[in-house]
Amino acid sequence: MHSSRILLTALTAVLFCTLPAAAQLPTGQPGWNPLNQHMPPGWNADMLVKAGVIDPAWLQPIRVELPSKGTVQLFSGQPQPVFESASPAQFSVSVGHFYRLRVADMPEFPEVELYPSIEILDRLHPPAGQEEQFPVPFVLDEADLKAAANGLLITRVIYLERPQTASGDDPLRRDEPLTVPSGDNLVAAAALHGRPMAILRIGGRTPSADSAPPMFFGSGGRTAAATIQPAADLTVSRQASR
Amino acid sequence: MPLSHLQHLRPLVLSVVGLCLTVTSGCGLNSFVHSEPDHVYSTACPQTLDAEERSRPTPVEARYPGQAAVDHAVRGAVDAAGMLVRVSGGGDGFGDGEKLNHSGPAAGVVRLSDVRDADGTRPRSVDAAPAAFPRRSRHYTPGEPRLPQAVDGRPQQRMETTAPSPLADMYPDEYLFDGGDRSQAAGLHSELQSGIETEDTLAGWVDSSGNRRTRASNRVAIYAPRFGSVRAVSGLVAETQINKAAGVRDAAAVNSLRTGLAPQQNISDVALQRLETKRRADGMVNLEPAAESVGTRRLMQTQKTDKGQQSRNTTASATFRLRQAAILAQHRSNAIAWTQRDFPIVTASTDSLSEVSAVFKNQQTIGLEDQNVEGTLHIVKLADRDTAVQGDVLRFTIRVENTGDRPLQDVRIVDNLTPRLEYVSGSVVFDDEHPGTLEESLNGEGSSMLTFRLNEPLAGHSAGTITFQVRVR
Repeated sequence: MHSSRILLTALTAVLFCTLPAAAQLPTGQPGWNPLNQHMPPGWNADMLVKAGVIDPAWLQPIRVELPSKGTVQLFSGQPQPVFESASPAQFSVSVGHFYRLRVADMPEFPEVELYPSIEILDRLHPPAGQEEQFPVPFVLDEADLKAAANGLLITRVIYLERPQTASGDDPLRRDEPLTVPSGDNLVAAAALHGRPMAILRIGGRTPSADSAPPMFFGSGGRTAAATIQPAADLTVSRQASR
Repeated sequence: MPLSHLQHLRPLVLSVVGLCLTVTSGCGLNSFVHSEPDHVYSTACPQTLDAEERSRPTPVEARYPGQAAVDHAVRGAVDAAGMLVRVSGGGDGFGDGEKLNHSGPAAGVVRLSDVRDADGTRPRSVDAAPAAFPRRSRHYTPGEPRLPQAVDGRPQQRMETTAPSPLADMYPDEYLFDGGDRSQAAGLHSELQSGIETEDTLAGWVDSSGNRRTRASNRVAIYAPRFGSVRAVSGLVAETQINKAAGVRDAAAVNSLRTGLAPQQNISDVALQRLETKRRADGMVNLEPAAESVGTRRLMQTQKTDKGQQSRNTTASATFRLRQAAILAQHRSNAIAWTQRDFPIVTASTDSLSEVSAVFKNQQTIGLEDQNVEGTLHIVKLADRDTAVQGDVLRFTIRVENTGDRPLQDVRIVDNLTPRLEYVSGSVVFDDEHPGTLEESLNGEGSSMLTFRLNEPLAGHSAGTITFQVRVR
């Protein structure tokens, strides 16, 4: 009994010594990244806010694109949608929060509604007055939606491409997306190509009317409607305001 | 718990803790061991010693024995004796690790002889009289900047950048750059070029002296962020995987593996050739006797036999014999014929008087001094817009100007486009006074390298303009 206590003390000392050292490791080096897509939605963004890396007061415009047509709803901590718009939909959300989307009315997948989640990790710095001209795109292609409808979980980390290592092809809409094994750190893999901006998770989970936890609909960050028209026709109707 | 068991566990615990202290560099326990600062350069204002007026630090003058008075403004820095000195005018606001004995030689005179630093070493005796010097406001020396700074305090770039926002240098991954000389110094030679990377825009010319020169343009920044994504697919369905049914016994087949390395025998016979050297100049004849070397090498005989799970390695006795006998290597000195003949040398020298006669004639040189300034080329690159999205077409304008007097020959401009820019074929336009040609080639990174050549030399104080279009990918 006494020996186990001493052993426990030794293990505590080990953790006490190693954890601060792990926290001081540089996050920019490849192969190790404190962020991970396997953590619960919102954990990575919350860690960045607590670390003071990002400013949660910044409203980052985002753009949600469906394969052809459809309806996009935005939730922010409540079961009632904040915005509803036709694809492509554009909103502004707070950096450092995660939100829930609802996509439905897609002609490719009738009678299918999905609830993807988006987690905003970083922001852009466009010239003043042109913030909404450069939203962070969330492209939900047909393959991802089909896989999610079949019960799979598709996780995408959207990164800002490093111009010096850019290629001629569009890395966001390529035919064969860059896929890594599900056990790998997706954020670290994205950091090799640029700056991770957001995490998109598309799954088949749907909230029930009585058992959906409040965190399912997001962490409650601020939202704002888009004041400009995206490339396609977009009708934004603000149903609720926070 | 017997005491003997505790004594057995104590080395284990101590070794584990010691291993942690050794391996983890950022360990909190060993932070005091490494007291060196983490950041050498810091522009942050150091912490003030006090927040109130009464405890504001007062500058003192320290006098070292045999040394002139040294102004010791208290800045919380390491002094000349390698000691942390912080003296508070109020007398109560000393920092951590500072010990000051107020029992000085006289009232109002602080004797620093008892000042000790953290490790307890005692410095040299110092007398300080804070009341004899006027109070001085706090003054902090800013840290050394990491990059050369411009007047406004921002990092100064090597290349002049034309950007729609001052944040282009802080967040370059959101911008699309074209122009300038990115990292490696580029050069345009006669027909070759070196150090040209994507985004580079260079002008090369030959001046009137025949020297070939190269100059980079400014850098144009266009706000055009592009995004990508990395995907992972995982299953949410419950999956049952049966690796082995209960009661199943794995039977690994007993394979009879036998690996036999056949003994080999290598015989190497090296027979030296007969060497003979003769030098007739000095009459020396050197004759080396022939040598013969015979070597016989026989490899080891190895046999390995694997049977089932048992492995047995049998090494047979090896035979290695090396025989190197120089049978005819006997040095026969009596066979060497050595002959040398010395001839007498006769040297004669004759000295005679000489007479030098010189005639000086007046000469007049008439010439024309060329006061024209050597020509040089300035290249400026501009874009017709500051922001762009994928699919937009940009128009670049390159303006070259000869600011000298003499004309410039073989003027050419090279623009190595970044992969995100695609040249719009046939969009190049030279101005009427300076026609030229365009050579388009692939740059190996998914885009084009454009080479513009002016057909005629660029006269002094004249400028030419080239425009072309690119499409943003």
